[in-house]
Amino acid sequence: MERQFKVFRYDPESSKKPYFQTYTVDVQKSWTILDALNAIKWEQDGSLSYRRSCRHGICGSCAMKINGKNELACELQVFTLKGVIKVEPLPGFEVLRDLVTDMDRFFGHIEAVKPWLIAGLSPTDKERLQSPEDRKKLDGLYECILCGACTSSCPSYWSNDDFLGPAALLKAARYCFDTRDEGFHERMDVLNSRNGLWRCHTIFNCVEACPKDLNPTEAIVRLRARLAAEKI
Amino acid sequence: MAYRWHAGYIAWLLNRITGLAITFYLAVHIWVMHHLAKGKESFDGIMEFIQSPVTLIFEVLLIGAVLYHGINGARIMIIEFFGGSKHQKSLFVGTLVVAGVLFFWTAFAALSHISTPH
Ligand code: FES
Repeated sequence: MERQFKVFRYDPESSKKPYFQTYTVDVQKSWTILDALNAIKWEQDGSLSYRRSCRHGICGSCAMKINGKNELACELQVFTLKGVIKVEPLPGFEVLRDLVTDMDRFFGHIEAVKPWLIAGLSPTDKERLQSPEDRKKLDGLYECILCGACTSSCPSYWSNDDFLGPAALLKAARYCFDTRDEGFHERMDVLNSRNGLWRCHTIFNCVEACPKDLNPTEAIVRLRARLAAEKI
Repeated sequence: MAYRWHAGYIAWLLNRITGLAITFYLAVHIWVMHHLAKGKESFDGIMEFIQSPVTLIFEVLLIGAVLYHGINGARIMIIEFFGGSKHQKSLFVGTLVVAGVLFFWTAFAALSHISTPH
């Protein structure tokens, strides 16, 4: 079946402004958007640039805006969409080329919340065991694949890209609510800063955007409550 | 830049718009009230000026803005403190229903009060 794809194009080395290019692709029923992009790149136009790696919805490389919504190109199936399919880079990030955006700032924010287990206060040479119940407390926090779909959809981030954003804050929650972690105070300054937790206005775009159905807003309000309790 | 329209986004947008409207009203209110300090005549003058049907429409809109802003504030508190984020969409519908009912009720009361002057 033939489908049309209206794809965002931008080449920083040419003087041309960004534009949309329409491709017609003969798609199969099982195809995802990534399959269609691959068909374009391999058979029609080798100059089209986009990121992808795992094609199994786990590496987070292929997040892009498809028909107005941030999605993983490798998970979204073509047949679920009607009409011409519009493919754009993630909003809110600087476009480097075509569908490729600059993710440096995004990963910088993730790093700022120290996304690792801080358990140095009580050294041990053994594995830090966790009960199944305690492990369960991390459900909905650990599954993030760092695709950037949430942060890119956040109006607070659009207005100020120094804001840590939902992905980094969800990552912070993943460690702060880990029963083995002792790093809440170490993370507190950055979480409590101007560009931390308080910049979220509970707009829920991140929840709409997350391809893994996670709820960064819930993580943010829980961290806020913990921070407030700590300060009081 | 806009993202897809959905409950949380619309709730926030309405909250911003009504918040700005209420702030604007506050400024106007203070301006009107400052005529009190200028004496009876000045105050009566401004009062007469604002007794127009146009102001009435704005007053009714103000009721709507205050109701939405206030009740959405309660929705936000439920989200912040009582785990309401998983139900934010139904909470938004609830906000609209409660604000809507109260709005029509009070707007009706305000308008019928004006149309039947004592
Ligand atoms: S290619 Fe890895 S998530 Fe899509």
